[in-house]
This record gives sequence, C-alpha cells and structure tokens, in this order.
Amino acid sequence: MRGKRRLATMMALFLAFALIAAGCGSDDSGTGSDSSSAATNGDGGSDESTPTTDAASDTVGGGGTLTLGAEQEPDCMDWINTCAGSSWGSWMVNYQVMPRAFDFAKEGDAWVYEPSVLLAGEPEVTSNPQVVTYKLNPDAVWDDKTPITCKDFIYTWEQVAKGEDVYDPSGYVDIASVEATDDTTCKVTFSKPYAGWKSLFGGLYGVQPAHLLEGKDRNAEMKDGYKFSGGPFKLESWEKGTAITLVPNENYWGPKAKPDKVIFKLIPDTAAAFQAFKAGEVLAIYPQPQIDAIEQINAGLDDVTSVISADTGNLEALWMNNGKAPFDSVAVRQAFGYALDRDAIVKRLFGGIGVEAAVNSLNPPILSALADNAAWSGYKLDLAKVDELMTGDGWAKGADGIWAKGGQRASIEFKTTAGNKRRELTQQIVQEQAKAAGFELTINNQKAGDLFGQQLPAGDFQLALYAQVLTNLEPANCGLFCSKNIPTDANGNTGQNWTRTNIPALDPLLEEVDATVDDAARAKANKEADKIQAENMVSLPLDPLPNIGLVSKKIKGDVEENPITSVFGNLYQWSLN
Amino acid sequence: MTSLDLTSEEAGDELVDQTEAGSVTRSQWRLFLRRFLRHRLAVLGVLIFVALLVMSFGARWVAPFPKNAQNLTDLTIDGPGRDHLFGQDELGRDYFTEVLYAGQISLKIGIAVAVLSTALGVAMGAIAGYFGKLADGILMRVTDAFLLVPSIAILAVAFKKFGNSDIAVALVLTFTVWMTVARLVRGQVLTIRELEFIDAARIAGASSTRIIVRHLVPNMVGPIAVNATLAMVNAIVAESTLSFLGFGIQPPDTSWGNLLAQTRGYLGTSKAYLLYFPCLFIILAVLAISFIGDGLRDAFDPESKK
Amino acid sequence: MLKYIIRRLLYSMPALFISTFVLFWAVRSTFDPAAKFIGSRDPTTYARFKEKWGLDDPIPVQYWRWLKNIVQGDWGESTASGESVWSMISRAFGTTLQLIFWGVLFSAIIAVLIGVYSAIRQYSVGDYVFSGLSYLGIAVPPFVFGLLAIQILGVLLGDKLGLDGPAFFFVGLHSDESGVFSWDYVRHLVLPVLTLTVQIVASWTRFQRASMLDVMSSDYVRTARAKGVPRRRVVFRHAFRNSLTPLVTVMAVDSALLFGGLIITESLFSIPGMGRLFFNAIQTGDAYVVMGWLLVSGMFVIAFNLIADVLYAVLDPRVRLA
Repeated sequence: MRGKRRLATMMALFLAFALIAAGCGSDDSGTGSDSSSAATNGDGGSDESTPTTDAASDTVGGGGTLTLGAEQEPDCMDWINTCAGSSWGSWMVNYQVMPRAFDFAKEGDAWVYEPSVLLAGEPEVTSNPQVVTYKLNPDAVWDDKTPITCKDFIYTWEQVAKGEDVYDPSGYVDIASVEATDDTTCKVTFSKPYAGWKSLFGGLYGVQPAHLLEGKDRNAEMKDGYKFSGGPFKLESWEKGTAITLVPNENYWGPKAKPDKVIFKLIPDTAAAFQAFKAGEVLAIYPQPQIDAIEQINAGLDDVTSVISADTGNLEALWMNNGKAPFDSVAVRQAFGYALDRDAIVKRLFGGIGVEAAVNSLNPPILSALADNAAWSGYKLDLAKVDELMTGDGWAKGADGIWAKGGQRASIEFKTTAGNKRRELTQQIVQEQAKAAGFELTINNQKAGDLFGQQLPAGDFQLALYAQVLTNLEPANCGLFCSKNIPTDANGNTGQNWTRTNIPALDPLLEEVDATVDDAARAKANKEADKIQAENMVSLPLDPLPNIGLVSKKIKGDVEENPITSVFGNLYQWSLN
Repeated sequence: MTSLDLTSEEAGDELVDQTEAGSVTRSQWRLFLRRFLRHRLAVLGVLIFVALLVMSFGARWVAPFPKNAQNLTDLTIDGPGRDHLFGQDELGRDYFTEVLYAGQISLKIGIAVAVLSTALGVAMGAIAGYFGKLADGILMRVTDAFLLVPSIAILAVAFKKFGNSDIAVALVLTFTVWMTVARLVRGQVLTIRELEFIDAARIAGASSTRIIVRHLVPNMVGPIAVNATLAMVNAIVAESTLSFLGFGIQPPDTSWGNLLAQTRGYLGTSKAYLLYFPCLFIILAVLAISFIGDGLRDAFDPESKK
Repeated sequence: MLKYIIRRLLYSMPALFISTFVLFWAVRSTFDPAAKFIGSRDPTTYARFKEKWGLDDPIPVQYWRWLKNIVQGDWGESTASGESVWSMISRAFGTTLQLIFWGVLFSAIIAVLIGVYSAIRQYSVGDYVFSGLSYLGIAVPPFVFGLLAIQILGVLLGDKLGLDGPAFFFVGLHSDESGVFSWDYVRHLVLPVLTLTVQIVASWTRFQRASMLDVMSSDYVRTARAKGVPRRRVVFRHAFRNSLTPLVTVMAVDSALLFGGLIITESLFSIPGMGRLFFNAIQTGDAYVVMGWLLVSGMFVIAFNLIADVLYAVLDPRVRLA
C-alpha cells in the first residue's frame, strides 16, 4: 500500500514538472558582452561594399536560409543613441537595412568612398562656406514604397545634431542647415569646413525614415529592433540572446538580396563558435584574431573560404600615458621604443596568417594613403640606444638591472583587457623584452568596461595595450592626440586623448586634417603629423589586428573582407545555390 | 545536502557507532591507521597527492626549465617529445615546467579552501548547535541566506572589489562552501549534545568551550575530514570553472584551471595538448583527494562499509 | 502538516529578505550601471541616466523603492536594456526549465539504475567501473567535458556519418525560431543535457548506492531474507523502494540550485537561460534583474527544500514533521 502511495506521489510530482517544462516552449534572452577592442573613433559614415553589376540580382531570394555565427549582439538598435555603438550590431543589422550616402570600395590598393545607390551621382561640393548638394536616386524608397527624400536627411541631421544621448554628433554639429531644393535634391550647408563629410548620412547611423519617426520617440521605436528598411534586407526578428533574423527587402531598389533568410546565431563562447563552424552548424564566422583562431585555420578547415586581411581599420598599439611618469619624458618613451623588437612580436602573434611586420604609423592600414607608413620604422630593438637615451635623461641602472632616477625605478604598470588571450600573451613578450632593456613592467589587467569606461579616460594607466577601431575612412587623430581633447572638465571629460599627448606643433596639423577638404593637402598634413608623433614617440604602434572572415564553400557569391562593413558586407550576394 | 531539520536525524543514525566507542584514544588512532592503509586506493591517492605537491612546490628543482623561459628568437613550437615532455606553449615555454608551476596556485587554493571552510564551518556549526536557541536561529538564518545568494554573485562582487589574487579566489570559494560543513556540524552537535558523556562532562563542571573542543569536536573528526576532502576537490574544479567565466587567476599568474580555460580554443588542432595536460593534472589531483576521502570515511567509520 | 509548511515558509522569509538586501547593497556599491556612459560624447548622458534610475539616492532608499514595487507586483526594468525584468526572467526561466527537466530526469534514471546495480553487485567489476566513472565525472571540469562532447559527438561524429551538419547540434535549442517539440529540438538537447547530466549524476549515483547499501543491511531486509523471501523479491519489493527516499530529497534540493547554476552549460551551448541572464546582469550592475533573479531562484530553493522535507515525511513514515 505504502509503495503505491509513494509511487503515486512521485508520478504526480513528475507530471507537474513535465507540464511546467512543456509550458515554457520558447527560449532566449541575455545580453551581449563588451567588445575587447572598444574605443571607436571619429564620425559616422561608411557602409556596404560595391553593389552594381551582378546580373542575377534582380530577383529577390531563392538563395536559401543562411545560418551564420555572431559573437555579440548589440545592446540596442537605435544606432544614434549611446546604447548602440556595437560593431556587431552595425555589421548584422545597421549596414544591412539602413540606406546611406556612400559605400566603401577598394580602388587599387586603397579603400575609398563611392556614392551608393541612394545617390544619383557624386554630390557637388563648393567651399566657403562648404556646401554639399546631394542628388538622390529617384528610385530610392523605403520598404513601404515611400520615397527616400531630403526630409529624411533633415530628420537625421536634427536627431543627431540636436538630440540627447547621441553616440557621436561629430560633423553633424558643424552643419548649419539642410534644405530640400526639390524632392531629390538636398543642400547641406556647413558652418565650418568639415573634411569628413562623406562619412555623414551613412555609416554608423544611416539615414532615418522621417515619415515613420517624425514626432515619435525614436529611441522607443528602434531600440528593440524595427521593421522598416532602406537596404537589401529587413529585420524579421530579434530574439534577444539567441538570434537575429533578416529577410530580403522586396522593395529595395538596388541589387536585391539573394538569401531567403539570414539567421545570425549568437554564440558567446568562441571555442564553441569554432566547433559550430567546423561542424557546419553555422556557415560563416567572423572571429577575433586570437591565437587559437589562427591555430584552427592552420589546422585545416575543409571547404572554407577564408579571407584574412591586414588592411584593416584597426590599430593595436602600446599606448603611453604622456602625462604620467615615467612616460612624461620624451627620452624614456623613445628609449622604450628601442627596447622592443616589434616585428618579432607581430610575427609571433600573427605569423601563422602571414602578418609579420609591425605597423609604423598611428593611422590604421586603411588610411595608408594619408599616412607616413614608415614614421616609426626607425624604432628597432637597439639596447645601446636605450642606454644612451636613458643615461642622457639622468637614469642609471640599479643592482636589479632596472633603470632608476632620483630613487624612482622604471617600474611601469601595464594594462590591457582581461580575458583577451592574445593581448595577455603579447604583454608577456613585451614584459620579457622590456626587462632585458631595464624596464620593469607589472601586468594589471582590467575588464574591458572598466578600462575603457573609467581608467583610460581618467588617465589611470601608464602603459596600455588595446586597439583603436575606425568605422569610416576619416583620420581621427585629432580626436586622439590634439591637446584640446585631453579629458578635462572643459570638455565634460569626453575628450578621447587618453594618452594626454600635448605637443604644440602637432595640434595645428591635426586640426588642419579635420578641416581640409582637399585630399592632397590633407594627406600632407597628416603625414607631417605622423612624423612629429613618431619623433615624440607619443605611443608605440604595434599591429593591424588582422580581420579574419571564415565562410563555408557551401555559400556561393563574392566573399570578401571589408574593413568597415566586415565579411558580411556583401551578404546580399550570398546564396546556397 | 538536506535541510536542517532532517540532518540531525540522519546524522544521528550514522553517529551512534562512533560515539558508542567513546572518546578517542591512541589505540584507536592505530586502528584507524591500519584501516586506512588497508584501503589500497586511498594509499595510492596519498602517493599521487604527495607526488603532486612535491612536483609543484618543488618545481624550482624538479622542472627542467626555469619558469617563463620564453623563446624569443625561434618561433617554431614543438609538440610533446624528448626535448619538451609536454611540448611548448605559444611563447615557446616548456609546458611541463609551466604546468608544474601552475599547480602551486591550484593546490594552494584547494588546501586553503579545505582548511578555511572547515574551520569556519565547524566554528559556526558548533556554536549554533551547542548554544541553541538564539545563536542557532541567527546563524542558521545567515547560512540559509548564504545558500540563497548564488556563489557567482559573491565572486563577481569580491573580484571587482579585491582583485583576482590567489588569496581572493581561495577566500571567495571558502565563503561559498562553508555552509555545508556548518550544517553538518550543527546536526551532529545537536545529536551528540544529548548523549550521556556530555552530560557527564557538564556535571563534572566542564566549561562550554572545553566541552566543544575536548568532546564534541573529536567525535566529529570523521565526517569533517571527509567533508574537507570534498571541499578541496570542489575548490580545485571550481577554480577552473572560475577561469572559464573570467573570474579566476589572471595571467601572467597561472593555475591549472586558468591554463585549461585559456587553451580551450585549441580543441581539434595540433595544439590540443595544451588543453589536455593541465586537465590531466586536475583529474589526477581530484581522483587522489577523492580516494583519500574514501579511505578516511572507511577508516573513521568501518560500519559504513558493511 | 499545513502548520509545519506555513511555519517553514515564515522562517525562510528573513533569509530571503537578508539575501536580497545584502545582494542589492553589494551590487549597487560595486558596479555602476551608468559606467558605460562615463565616456560618452554627450556629457549630460551620465547624469541623466543616474537621475532617471535614482542612482544617487542612498542604497537603502533604493532598496526600499524596489521592495515597495515588488510587493505591488512591479518587478522593475533592466537598467541595461530598459526591458521589463519580468519578461526577461520568464523567458530565461522557460529555457532553463527545459534543460533542468531533461537533465534531472536522465540523471535520476541513471543514478537509480547504477546506484542500485552497484549496491547489489558491491565490489564487482561493474561497481568499480561505475564508481571510477563517477569520480571522473566529478574531476573533469564541466566546460572541458562540454567542449569534448561538442568535439566528439558534434563535430567528429557528424563527419564520420557523412552528415551535412553536426550529428547533434550545439547552438541554442532550435535551428530556427520555432519552439515546438521536434526531432530538431531533440538533436539540440542531447549535448547540453548530457553535459548537465554528467555534472549531477556522479554524486547522485554515489548517494543512491550508499542508500541502497544502507537499506540492504537493515533489520527488516535481513528478517525478510531469513524468513526465506527470495533475494530478488526482497531487493526489488522492499529494499529498492525504501532506498529511493533519501535520493528524492537530495534531488529536490539539488534541482533547486540548478535554476541559477547552469551558467557553464548555457554559455557553451549558446542557450539564453537563467544562468547567463544573471551572469550578464551582475557584471553590468543591472541590479533589478539581479533582484528579480534572486527572488525566483531563492523561492525555488526554499520551495524545493520544503518539498524535500515533506516528501521525506510522506515517503518515510518513520519521520514526523514538527
């Protein structure tokens, strides 16, 4: 008897549990984590790689369902708001659904802007004052067939230039007015010259649909995902923590999207993501260039198109705090530059994918046309030079082999983003090399959020290893090195010159770069600036942080790496057939 | 594992055997030792554990290379072989050497957690069990609250505040496991308290402290020792899990767990050995300690073998 | 009985209260949810965010505000995404529940089968093999086991069988968004459930073995044997049933802890459940999500502990609740 009762109790319990479990069918939630290479520079502007040609792209869909892997998801999809600012959000959604004025294309060796299908041609530019007249493509429409007009430009400008909590208003705040001369002509007048005007009305924000958002709370409409589109795809769903699904925008006036559906699955663990790719559970991944990723590629991936590019918008460097001892001394900074064999470090880290030389400019590789690409090439391992510079600056080596001056040892705190294995290994190599030259580095790593959100802006570091990432083709070095951008109360501590670089000769050059529309003059100023920065050794550039795109051969269509829009830049061309 | 009201009853059943035997005497220790030595796996466990301790803490003499000896010029990396028993890591360091040194922190954390959680748990449990009523009520509510607050929360907060040193990891892990011991001890104390020889001691005029230290504690050595081995096993495995979550020991410091978490991306490549060797050491350590725990249980409580 | 349950529930209220307050205090004083806005280009963003969420008020005031709201059924909103905490938790909860359900089910079956086998065949080869395996289950860190399972049963097996994809999936619980029970769902469940099962089955097996051994050596089993009842009948009619009681209570207690403890499994298999929700929330200082999570998981721990004790009393007439 007792046995039966017990059995019945257990059965009941089991059944109740089963019912609860079955009742909760759906899954998702959770939020993405911080990127390890934060600190985005500059303005808006950028987008997808060259459309045009491709005859088959008149018909929508037919390319099957593509399941792709994503490392992170954005915090929100209101791209103008501070809550956005996630590269993955831009790659997966923003660049796929928002219309923009300019695309990125490779011309010869250089990455250049190219008018997108939104424009009827290259805009007219006049100077004094700078006026840009956009001719819009009359075919350009939102997915509800409402034409994309100058009203949308006006709305976008107003939102960015005058809104609250804007991620980055640069450029837009220099616009005096945006006027519609007729439905397809848009006249943008600047209050002062703005060299990076091609990055506006595109890139980070895209052009926003005035007819849908005007008079509404834009943030509320967009932050959890939105259905409108002016690009080849539109967002079908965003299951937070799980997946982002895109479907073709049937009313897109440009080359139509081939996939019937694209599912970006969020795979937070990178080791699991690699296995998922190898097993074919996801057809493409865009991993960080970690050593294990490189090892996986070298271990042989069958039937995979791997696009590896060192021509990136990234610059990983050893950033020095010029405002804090011992790096407040030019001689010490220079000596440190001679203490390291940077080529050997880069070869150790990225030799497996053919990247073997250190970067020698503080401009990322995609800006090579504007940069002095050999500015730092003089800084090679040279211990005699280290001795000369250090003794010249009044330092002497102590019994422990470490430089000291006035009782102060050359002991330097070295920070990077905790949990980034490649950076942690880099630190250990740098530490060993520096020790041989008489510098003691103590490693003290921080969570990315703390490092970028608090410590670097507050100047709470001596030496830090991280990357600057460009989201357009505009040099951003005034933001990073002009003395007016040192975080102070005057600029609301929003300045991005975390290295506290303060070189009077540098400021006018970098300001000129930002305000010169003429390309040749701009390049000249920027190259000159590179040289001065190298002479003063404001920081030590290291590597271009190669981009790695891995795409299964099952996917047909052009697979290429775009430094701004990622390997997913021409997602619309991809197809299983 | 079960909640408070029942532990006492359960524990009572187990304990009768021991307490009947009276207080601990020298001959009993000899008996205990003989029983422990008869447990072959436990002896093997002791040997392995001692070997691990010696190799890790004596790494300066045992390891074939100095710690962190990077190869800055030769960029090729050897797999396991004659030159490098466990191969080389990404920076050309001898991995056998690195794994041995990493053991120092893992074992230190394991031992520290076992000792600290036992001390804290025994103190709390004994006080709660012996003084009863108010002390008991408060302490048990506190342990209940600790059981509700997930360890991850304690970890996240502690690491943000105190950093990720080995001491911090050990302390945090201690705070997440001491409740088990506390409850165990409390249950046992509640049972033993009622037994005759305690009454006898009390009548003889012994103080509370004296009763706890001289009579209660020795009678609970068995279960507590077994529990300590469990805590140690859990700590060593948990340390690796922490590293996976990004809360563990931070490079350039190394532990088995952090080597393991850092190299997990090599699975399926020719460098997978970087993952396997620290894993092997964790498994060895855990098995050894578990065997010792088994041996202790059998030796303290021969009846349980039946 | 009812009185007992009510008293137990009342007793656990202080624990719940203390733990929510302590955790709230700890999270608020450690993590700044507004931190990510410190460097924003709009210098007023940070202040506005703090103002909006009342982050400058003393922590007890903030806690009181939360407590008042929660009593009225308002779980608050996430400071990170602005989403309602209730909807975040209910979504994550459903996901985790699926894992726990299958994990506990399989663990229970395996633990009982192996535990009983090992007890009646004590010191046999099988007993040694199983106890060796259970030690291994404890010794291999869960994330390593999960990755090995992915590598072997996902990647390599799929390759061997010449499948287009993996044999068993390991990203999420469904290939597309549909949430129905299907073959696809099963193929997604196998690996995470296996990983979870290995984490819990080892200790349960050892527990069941000990409990079965206990019962087998008890007086009434000996008596029954002495009376000439066949061994098989004694084992399965009497010993087996009685040996289940302790395991059931342990299972109840352990299962409750699983509600928040699946972070590893959920991260490896890209499943957005309670563990990951909590893990992400605590690191961004998303205190209201953390609080909501603690309430739910705390209530489960309390409830399952109570269930364990009640079950113990129901299943074992020797135990009386007081």
